[in-house]
Amino acid sequence: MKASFFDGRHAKKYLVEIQLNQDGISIQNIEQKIDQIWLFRDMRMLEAFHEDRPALLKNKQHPNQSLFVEDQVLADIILLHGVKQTNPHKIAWFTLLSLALLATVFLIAIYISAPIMSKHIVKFIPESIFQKLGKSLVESQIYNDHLFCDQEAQSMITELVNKLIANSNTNKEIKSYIVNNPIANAYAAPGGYIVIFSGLLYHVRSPEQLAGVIAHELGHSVLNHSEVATINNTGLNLIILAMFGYQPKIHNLVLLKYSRDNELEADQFAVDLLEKSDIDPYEFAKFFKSLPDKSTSFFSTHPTNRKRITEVYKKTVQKNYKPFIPKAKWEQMLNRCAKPE
Amino acid sequence: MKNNFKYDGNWHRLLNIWLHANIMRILTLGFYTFWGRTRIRSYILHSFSLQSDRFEYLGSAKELLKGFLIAFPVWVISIVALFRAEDSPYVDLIAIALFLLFYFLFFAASYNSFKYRMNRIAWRGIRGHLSGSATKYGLYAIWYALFDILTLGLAMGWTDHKMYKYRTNKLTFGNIPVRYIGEGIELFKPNLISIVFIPVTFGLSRIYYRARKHRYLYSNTFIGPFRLHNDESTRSLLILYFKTTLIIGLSFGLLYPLALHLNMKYMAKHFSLSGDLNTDAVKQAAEFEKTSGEGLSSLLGNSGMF
Repeated sequence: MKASFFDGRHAKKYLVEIQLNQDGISIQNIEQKIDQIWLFRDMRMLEAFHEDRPALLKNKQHPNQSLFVEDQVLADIILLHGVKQTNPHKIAWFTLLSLALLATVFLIAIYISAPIMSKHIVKFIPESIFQKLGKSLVESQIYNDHLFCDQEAQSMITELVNKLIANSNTNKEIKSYIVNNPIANAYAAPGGYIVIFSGLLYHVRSPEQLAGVIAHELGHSVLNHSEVATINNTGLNLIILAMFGYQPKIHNLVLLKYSRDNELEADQFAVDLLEKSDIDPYEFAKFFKSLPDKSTSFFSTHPTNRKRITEVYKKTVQKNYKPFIPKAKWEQMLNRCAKPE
Repeated sequence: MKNNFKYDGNWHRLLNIWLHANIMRILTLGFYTFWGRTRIRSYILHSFSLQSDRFEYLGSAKELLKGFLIAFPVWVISIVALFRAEDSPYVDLIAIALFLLFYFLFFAASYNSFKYRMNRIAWRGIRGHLSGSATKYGLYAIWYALFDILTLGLAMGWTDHKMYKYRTNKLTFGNIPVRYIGEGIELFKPNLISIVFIPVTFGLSRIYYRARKHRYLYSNTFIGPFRLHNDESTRSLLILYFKTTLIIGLSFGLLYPLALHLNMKYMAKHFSLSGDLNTDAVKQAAEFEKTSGEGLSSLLGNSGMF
């Protein structure tokens, strides 16, 4: 059986005769003084015979030598002798399914244990790192959306936040910003940053409702939920990066999100804080009523609004509360800010 | 006498290998990346032939993994340095320095990656070999980029020529040197024309320059006594870009192997080598072996099309 042989010393092709032996093959071209024995145990098949393309064989004792076998039967016989196929053409389904099973178990284990592990990891990471992270996150939000209110209105919001912080028994430095974004939302970034979207100012029906949302975000911040979520998401993103490469669409699925327990914990924190600050927590419950309830799916990170309202009512003590800020001041603040588009 | 390169790869087969590599990559949480890449390279190189002798890819996944493991700490340290620099009062200066460092690393790593690949590609049993310094190449890249900026891109023909010259003249096939004999001045006009027409062609005029550049640089390259030829045209390059962009875009990247296959067919179609390819006297290069490869370039995303 014929094959092409390259000795790895010269760029010269030798047409050789191949003969099968018990332990290997002999490669011969008598006229050109090629006489070699390749043992099966030293051989590996870099490319298998496929659609008239020759099989490429290498010998680990002579790494520069190459043998191109153009006979499929010979290539198959060599493989039957246990020669390792480096780049197999057939898919090893058993290996694939075993790996799939292992990967699934691993991912489920990570999914379950990541929040717990993250809580512990957070303790070992200096606060300054989270502050830098939060700062860059908030700066890019401000860069994209711009600040919404003028200096004076911003100071009024800071004053409100400080009023709440004073009753929260925290040493954490909290910085709050209002950005020009029509969505009715707010979030706590790592490192003590709270960002309020301008849309929220117009969605809430009273200053107490706004205080409730801020208290909730303060809860996330004081209870380190943002930091834990950051660690959790970094870990998940690294796994996604390793599995899929950089895929923005997939990475976007793992944005800063809290667990349902975190949300309920922040609600509880908010109710306590509002009561301590003598602000009506019922307004906070009313705020949930005004939200569309999208959180009904199993995978949702937020509890349902109904559940949150029930929880807030359960925890609230009925009494006469003072207004959070005078109505005139509230209106003055809204007027100092641009209307959302 | 012209000797055409031939590519007889099958895109269904390539798709199969690519899908398998990607599924395995997902299932092994990324570890299979190196094996998948090696598999794809091996298939593609084995599909290329010249005078009916096929090319071989001799790299291994272990080498790629080793390169990655060496480069990863360097990458992490750079990211941490970048992060820490934010606090410094000289943050702007540091940002510029880091940008230059990353630019340098990008090109230095691409040179090392090229060096690795050339050393792992063989034809008729003989490997390529690239000497030269990746550091020098990275520094040249910074210098020429500054020059391009200062001349508003007008010097790009000359700088492209210089970068190609450095890389090519350090290359050998076995013991025969690869030589580039171009002067670069011929690229000035096509570069100028393509820049002038950028606004009216929405940037497509750069394809004209690219085709001219390929034709000029490659056709002025000799591998020992054999001259390389390239007959790309603006039209053929434009059609290739259009087809591959459409394929990747419409299939959301799932038909990337088809785009890769078209690129390989295109290369085989437009490259040839002239001369009597009697290579019996060509010997294996005395120096080779580099046990790891492409770590940093794979992290920087510049380790080539496949």
